[in-house]
Amino acid sequence: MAEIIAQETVAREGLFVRRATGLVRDVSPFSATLFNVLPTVPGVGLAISVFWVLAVFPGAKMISGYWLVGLIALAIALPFAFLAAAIPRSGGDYMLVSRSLGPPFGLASSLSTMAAVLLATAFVASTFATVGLIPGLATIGLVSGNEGWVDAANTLSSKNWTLVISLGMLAIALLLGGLRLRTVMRFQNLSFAIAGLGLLAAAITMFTVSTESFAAKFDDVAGSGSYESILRAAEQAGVGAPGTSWANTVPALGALAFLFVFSWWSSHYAGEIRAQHTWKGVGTMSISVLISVVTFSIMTWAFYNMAGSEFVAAANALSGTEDYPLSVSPFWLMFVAIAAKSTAFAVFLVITFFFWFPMWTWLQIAQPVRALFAWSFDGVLPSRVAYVSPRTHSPLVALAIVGILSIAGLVWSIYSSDFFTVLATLTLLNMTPMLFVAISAIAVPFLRPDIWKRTPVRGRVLGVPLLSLVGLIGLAAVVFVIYVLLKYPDLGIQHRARTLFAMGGSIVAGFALYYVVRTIQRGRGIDISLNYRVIPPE
Amino acid sequence: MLCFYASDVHGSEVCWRKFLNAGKFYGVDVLVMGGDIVGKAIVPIELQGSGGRSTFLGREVELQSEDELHAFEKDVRDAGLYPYRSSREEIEYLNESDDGRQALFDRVVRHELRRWIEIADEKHDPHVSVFVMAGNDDPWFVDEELALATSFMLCDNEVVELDDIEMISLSYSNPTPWNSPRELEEPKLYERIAALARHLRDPATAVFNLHVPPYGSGLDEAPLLDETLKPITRMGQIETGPVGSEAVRRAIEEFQPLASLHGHIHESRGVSHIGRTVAINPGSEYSSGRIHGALVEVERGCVRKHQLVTG
Repeated sequence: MAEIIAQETVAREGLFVRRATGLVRDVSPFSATLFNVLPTVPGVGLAISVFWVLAVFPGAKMISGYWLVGLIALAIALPFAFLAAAIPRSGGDYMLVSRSLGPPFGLASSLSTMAAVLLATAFVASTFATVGLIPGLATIGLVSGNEGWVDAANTLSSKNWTLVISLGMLAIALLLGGLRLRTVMRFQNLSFAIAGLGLLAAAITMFTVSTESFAAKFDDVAGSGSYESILRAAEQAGVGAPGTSWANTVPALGALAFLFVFSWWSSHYAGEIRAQHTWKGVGTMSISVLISVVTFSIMTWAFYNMAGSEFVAAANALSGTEDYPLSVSPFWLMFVAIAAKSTAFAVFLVITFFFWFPMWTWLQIAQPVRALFAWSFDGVLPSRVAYVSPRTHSPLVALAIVGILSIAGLVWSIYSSDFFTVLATLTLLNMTPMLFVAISAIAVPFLRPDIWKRTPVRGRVLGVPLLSLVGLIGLAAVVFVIYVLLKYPDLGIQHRARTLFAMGGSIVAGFALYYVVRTIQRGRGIDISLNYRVIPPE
Repeated sequence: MLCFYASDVHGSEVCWRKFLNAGKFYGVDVLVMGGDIVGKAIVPIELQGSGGRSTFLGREVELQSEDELHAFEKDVRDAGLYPYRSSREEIEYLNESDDGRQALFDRVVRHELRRWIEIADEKHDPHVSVFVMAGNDDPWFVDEELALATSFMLCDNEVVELDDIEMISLSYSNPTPWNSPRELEEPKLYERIAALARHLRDPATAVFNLHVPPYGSGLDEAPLLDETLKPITRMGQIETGPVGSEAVRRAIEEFQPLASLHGHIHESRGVSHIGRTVAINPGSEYSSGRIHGALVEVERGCVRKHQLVTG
């Protein structure tokens, strides 16, 4: 593309292109792929999948589960990618659904996304305490033999302390949200590099330490013969080894969905003649899913290889009972630190692990801030919401709104709920926009053939538009995830009716918000329906 | 006075038609096109028998008849590109010759601009005043062609009246990585704007129609590029930053017009306030056939309402 500066025109891909503002090179496939992989947060995701999920669903086939949920994630993401190709710079599900089905649907979808992401912000901030700091301190205490660290971890595991720690992480994320993007990205680079280094060190340990060696080191920490006694106790209790139960694998998919279903973020990369690269975008997204699935599969396999899969299941099942000799709950980082048998290494692992959280929390905040701006520009919210400080260039009002709502979500998730309920609820709320986008893909060939024409799937199969078929598959995948989350109470949804009410409520609220605001704005001489009505060209 | 402002249609004929129809659709008094109206690429169609073949949106297209050719050309124009019927030999020549391509662009763009003028004449509504300006991306001969129109007025580098409200317009931008036809260094850009503003009766009751948005206004956030024009990414995320004009910002801060209307940065749709001035960039999504615009109502020396719309 630099040649277009040297010359007035170039011949490129069947076109004659003149030198013009905005013509940029494509972002590299590596960058696009990375953008999709990062939301899975491998270090934290591994903790959630191998421990939390296995603890509730012993015997689940985790590696098979990753591949299955990868397929589900792809099915959900494809309608998004194809529609986004036809509606560039679309602003996410809000624009896609508004243009396809109409503005009240767009707002309903966006409101659900907002609710889900705000809850995710709270959840992610709290995981710094529950998945990061507390187990991290306990790990250092266990490996070093210094009970003070373990006591500190136990103290911090109270709800009040969890709230304080989570608020601290939320404050860091909001502060990042107020900084210039360039500064944030430098911090992000550094954070992920440090976190990645820790993950790599952990992976090397898992690949190089044998099960026998791990068992010996575990016994050094937990007491002679502890490893074998845990295995025997688990066998007597009938605890199944991982990979033995399809019945428990199905519900595990519901929990794993949270980690994998956001693989479509790269579909918003702009280019002036972008539709030419749509299949590249879809290919990138597919590779992202594959990379995430392979990463998790390899890490899980390595972990089982080091600690023994049966032992992992046993430790999970017996944690907190008299058959489990440690005062610290099992945690993958802890086992890796034990395997290395080095306090310095344990400190290194824990500190690098912490670096996943600030950027993961910030990534959650970025979306609702953008949504608030989009609603403000469309007249759905007051223009004040899109205020940017001239001095700091920070979206102060939007950040304040996101902060307040996230704190409310945090309080609920810590005091009125539990880990899995929060995870399941926000996954369900996230399914609403995915549902709308899938329905949009089904309907667009019939309702908006002008949009369909610009997608890369313009053909038909047995007379049925291919885009509609893609939408149907996506819809089936979404419905399956919703079904699993609602069917298995151990996934956290204890009150189905209440949860369905919350999901439906966010949809109804979106409709209500649109019509109420439309009425109010009409009184001021502003017709917000004009934001979406198409001017006839003829 | 109710005005519809749009910008950066970049050759999209459907957007041009929608712009012209916006007067009746929104019930406005004035239409303002803020620049960058020329398309960026030509799609050659190799004629074969009664049909032809071409490459469009990354796929090979076979056209079997004149009707299919015609429909294809419409799709190309609507996407902001220019169809050009040719022979294989000429296409091969043009693939190799920069001078040949340049001459072709001049010819094709002039032809298409005359089509647009005819379309404007057909749709002319005597109750709606239409003002059109080129932008930094538009070759200078565009002004020469647009000046031939009778149904709209060319307003670049002029003070014009929208009902009883004055408007100044300027097509220039600050320097860009593309070295576009209409660029000025910031000090010179400021001088140009100030010179226009000094011709106003009262800048505080005027509207500024300046193609490039003010620096750091939130209306000028664009992907930052390296020297090869690739977006800079960090851990997969595109880095963005303000690329607007400090001269424009300085002029707005100094003269404090009622409103300032901008284009240039397609991604930065929004509304900002610089002092008492309402600054607007409706953004652009021309290649999808949607026209982004802004409705601005000015009454008794103030901006009574403004709304971003997409049609």
